[in-house]
Amino acid sequence: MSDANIQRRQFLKTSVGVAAVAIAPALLLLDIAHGKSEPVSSKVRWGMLINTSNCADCDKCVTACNEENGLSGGLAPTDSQWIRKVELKELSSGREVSLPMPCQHCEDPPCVDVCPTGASFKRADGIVLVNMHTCIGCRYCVVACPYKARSFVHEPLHDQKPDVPRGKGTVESCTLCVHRVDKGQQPACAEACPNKSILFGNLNDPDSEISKRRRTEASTQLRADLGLNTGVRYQGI
Amino acid sequence: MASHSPLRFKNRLFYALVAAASLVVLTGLYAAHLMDTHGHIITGMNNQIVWGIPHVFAIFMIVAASGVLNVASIGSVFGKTIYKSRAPLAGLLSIALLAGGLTVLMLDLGRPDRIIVAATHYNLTSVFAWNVLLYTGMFTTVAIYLWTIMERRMNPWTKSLFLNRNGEWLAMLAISPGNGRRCLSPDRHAVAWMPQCGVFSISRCQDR
Repeated sequence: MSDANIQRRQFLKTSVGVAAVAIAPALLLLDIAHGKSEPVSSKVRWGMLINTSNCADCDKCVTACNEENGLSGGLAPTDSQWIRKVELKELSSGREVSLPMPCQHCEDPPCVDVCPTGASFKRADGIVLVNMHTCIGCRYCVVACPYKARSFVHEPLHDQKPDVPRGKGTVESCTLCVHRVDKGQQPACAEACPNKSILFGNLNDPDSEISKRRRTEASTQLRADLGLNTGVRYQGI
Repeated sequence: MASHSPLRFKNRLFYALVAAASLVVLTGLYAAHLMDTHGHIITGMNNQIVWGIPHVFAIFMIVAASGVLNVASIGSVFGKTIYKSRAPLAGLLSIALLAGGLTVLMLDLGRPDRIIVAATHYNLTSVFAWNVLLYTGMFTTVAIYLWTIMERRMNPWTKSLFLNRNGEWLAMLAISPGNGRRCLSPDRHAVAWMPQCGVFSISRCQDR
């Protein structure tokens, strides 16, 4: 074999080796960046069961949400609130209930129906989200939501969380902590509740804790008359 | 010399009006720039009062754009010849009002820079998305209408455009976007006629 051939073979071998070393970490990083490789499926429907009868007079779910998602925590009408504590009072008996109120993640969400660009969308696993790249900030979804769950970002934002992209001039709401759920964790509010009043789980799995509780205990959806089939259900109201 | 002075006065008045109108436009652009820089916080609107006075103006102008065409339809569709000379002005006003109303809506978006997204991503269940098509359709129809009345050989086609019906449909959608509520026809006629009478009367003052 001639020297030229050997040199060429050597060159090719070295080139392939260098290319592999250069590309391999990039592919690894790409996998990490994309998270789980399998797509979400409609076999799962994420939901919550909120028991208001042992919901204490605290706002730990609200502060946990603010911290997790980088919200200011302000209560002004122009501040973003992804979960609110709503106080209800029955006038005849005087009974008071405090209920945490995130996006209800409806099966037929009005916000998705009205969005002109399709930026509001529902994932296959039932989580209702906003695509920050196509939201034009028309605020039609804010008007359409019967639960006042959506907020418009009125001012420039600073120090955003890398997992929770937000943008001035767009609409946002509770994502059910999708970045945590996709890693197999619970939403921040459910994890922070000291009384475990917020139960998170798969509504489509008959063996899940949330399904068992819904089968054996009474629960209701807010504004059931609208027929939206909410993913968040309540007890004790 | 004396016979020229009224014309000269009219010219000056015209340029004064152009200057005043330009000032209004510049103020509007400055307001849009401020909103772009600071965010909607400066508008006074919030998450409870989501849409405000800009939307009132926008809907008023869009409805007026439909109503002003009624004058044109009296001449073209119903054959009242005395109104025919007013038809081009009515068409032009209609386009101007529609453009004005839509500009107000566009500048009130949280991200007006993404307006192109409204043209490239359609959600067909949204009445807002329908309106993108319908308003474009109205612009085109009125432009073709103006062509048919201004170009003599196109005159026979004028009547067949049925502009009045087109306008009604659009205004009905504009008044009640997606709420499942629709204005009754007499209400819509009243809403559309009132502003158009005002706008048309003002514009006719210029003729005299």
